[in-house]
Amino acid sequence: MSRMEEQRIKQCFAVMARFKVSDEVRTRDLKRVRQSVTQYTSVQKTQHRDIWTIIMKSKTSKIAAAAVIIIAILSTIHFWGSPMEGMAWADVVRPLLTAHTVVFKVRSLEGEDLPITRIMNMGTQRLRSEILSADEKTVQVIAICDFESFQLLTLIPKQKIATLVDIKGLPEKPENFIEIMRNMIFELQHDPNVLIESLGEKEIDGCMAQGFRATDPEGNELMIWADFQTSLPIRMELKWRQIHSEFTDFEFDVALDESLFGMDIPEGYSTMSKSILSLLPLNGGTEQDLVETLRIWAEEIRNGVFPKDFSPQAYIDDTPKVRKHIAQARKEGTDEGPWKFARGWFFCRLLKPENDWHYVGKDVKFGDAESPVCWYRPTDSETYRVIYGDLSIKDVTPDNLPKG
Amino acid sequence: MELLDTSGARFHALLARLTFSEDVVGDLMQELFLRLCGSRGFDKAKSPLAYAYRVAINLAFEHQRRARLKLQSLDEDCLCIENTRPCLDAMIQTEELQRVLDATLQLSDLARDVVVMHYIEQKPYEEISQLLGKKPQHLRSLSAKAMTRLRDLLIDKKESQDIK
Repeated sequence: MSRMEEQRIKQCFAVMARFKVSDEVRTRDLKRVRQSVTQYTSVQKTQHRDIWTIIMKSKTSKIAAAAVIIIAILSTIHFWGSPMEGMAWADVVRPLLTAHTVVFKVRSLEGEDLPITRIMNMGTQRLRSEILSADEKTVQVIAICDFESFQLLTLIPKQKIATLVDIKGLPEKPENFIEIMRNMIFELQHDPNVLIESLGEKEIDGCMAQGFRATDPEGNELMIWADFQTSLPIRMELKWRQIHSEFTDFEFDVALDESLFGMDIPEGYSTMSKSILSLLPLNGGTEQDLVETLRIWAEEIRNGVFPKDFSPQAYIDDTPKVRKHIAQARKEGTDEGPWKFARGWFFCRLLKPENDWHYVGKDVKFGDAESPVCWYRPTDSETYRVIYGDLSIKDVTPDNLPKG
Repeated sequence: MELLDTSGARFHALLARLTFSEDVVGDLMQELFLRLCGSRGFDKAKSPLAYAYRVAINLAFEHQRRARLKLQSLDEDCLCIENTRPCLDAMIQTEELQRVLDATLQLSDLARDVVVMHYIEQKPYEEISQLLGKKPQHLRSLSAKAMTRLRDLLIDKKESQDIK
C-alpha cells in the first residue's frame, strides 16, 4: 500500500463508526459504572479531596513541603501532554508514574547560595529529603516521611537533634502519595485552560534538550527541558505562587538503601516528639500567622528592624540570628518558635499572583505606625490589607496604596 | 451521575468504537466516570460534556498505546455492523485500522477530538462546534489539515524508504 488515500482513511473511520456493542453488554456496563460511581461519591470522593487539600496546605514541615513540591512538579509534567514534535506525554510521564524510586534535587531561584534539597522517593509510601549546604557537601537537615506508619522524622546531624512527629492525627491521612500524584497528572492533563508553548532546543549538561513552557490561568508557570533521546526530564523551573524553584539531577529506578528510609532515631541524638496537629497550618496559614511571623522576625530576631525582604534569601542572610533565637527558645522550654515563624511564612508563600503581594519593610522600625511593611489583596476583595510597622492593619483601596 | 444518565450510552459507544472491543469498554467506562468524579477540572469546566469527551478520547487512545491493542477480526461474531458492506470491510484489514488509529493518536488534542467526533461518531460540524465552543469553519479547516497530516503519517514504510 502506498500513501494511504484520504478516501481510504475515511473508510477506516467509517468501519469504526459502525462498530456497535450489544445492548446486553451496554446495559451491563452502565449498571456497573453506576454502582461504582454511587459507591465512590458516597465514600471516597470526600476522602480524596480532603487528602489533597491537606497535602496542598500542610506546608510547615519540610517533608510536607517537599511532598507538595513533588506533587506540584510531577503533576505539571502533564504539560507535555500535547503531542509536541518528537515527544509524547505518555512517554515522558510513564517513568514518573511507574518508577519505584525517583531522586532529584530542588533549588530555590529566589536568591544566591540557597540550600539545595535532594528528594528521594521510594515506592508509594516513603520519602526522604536532605537539605544540603550550597556547596552540596553537607547535609544540614534530613526529613523522612513514612506514609504507612504516619510518622515524620527530622534529623539535624550537626546538632544531633531528632524530632519524631506523629501525623496520625491529621483529619485525613495522605495515605497514598503516588496515587495523589497520578490523579493530579491526570486532572491537569485534561485541563484545556493550560497554555503551552515550545521553547525549542538547546544543549543542557551535554544533552540536546527540548523545552516547553506551560502557563495556567492563575499565572503559574513551568519550564521543562527534556532529553531529546529519552524524553526524560533534565531540568524544570517552576514559578508557583510566590515560589520559584529549579529541579535537576533526575534519576529513576536507582537503587536506594532501605536504611535511608528508616524511622529509627540514630544513636546519640536527643529526641523530641510532637503532635503535628498543633504545629501545622492546616488551613494554609492566616493573616494573623503572617503578623506573628513579622513580629518574631523584626522584634525577636532582628532587634527591632524589619528584614530587607520577605524572601528565602533574606531568611538565609539572617540564619545565624534565627538559629540563636531558636536555641534561646529551646532553653526557655519551648520549641514551637520555628513552627510559629513558619506559619506566616507559608501564608505568604502560598499567596497567588492575583493577591498582589508587596513587601516594603526594608529598614522599617518595629513599632512604626506610619510606615507600611507589606500589603496584599485577599481573594475576592476589592481592598488591600496593609500591615504597618506597629503590626496594625488597615483596609486600603487600590488608589490609596502606599507607593512601593 | 447526571452525565452518566444523559450521555452514558454515548460514551460507551464512543469507547467501543475507539477500542473495537467489548471486553475493555466496560473497564474504560468505569475508569472514565470515576476519574471524572474525582476531577476538579471537570467540576470547573465550562463544558463538562466537552471535558468528559476529551478524557474519554484520551483514555481510549492511552489504552491503545499502553496495550497495543490487537483489534479483533471484523467478523459477525464480534461486530454488529449496521448497513454491512462486506466487500468494503473485507478490504480493510485489521492492521490498517490499527495504523489509522495510531496515526490519529499523533494529532493534536483538538484535531483528534474533531476527527473522532466527525468521522467516527459522525457528528456534523455544527454540533461539534457547540460542544467545543469553536466555529464550524474553523473545525472544517482543522479537520482538513488533520486529514492531510494523517495521510503524511500513513505513508508506507516501503515508500518512505524509497523516497530516502
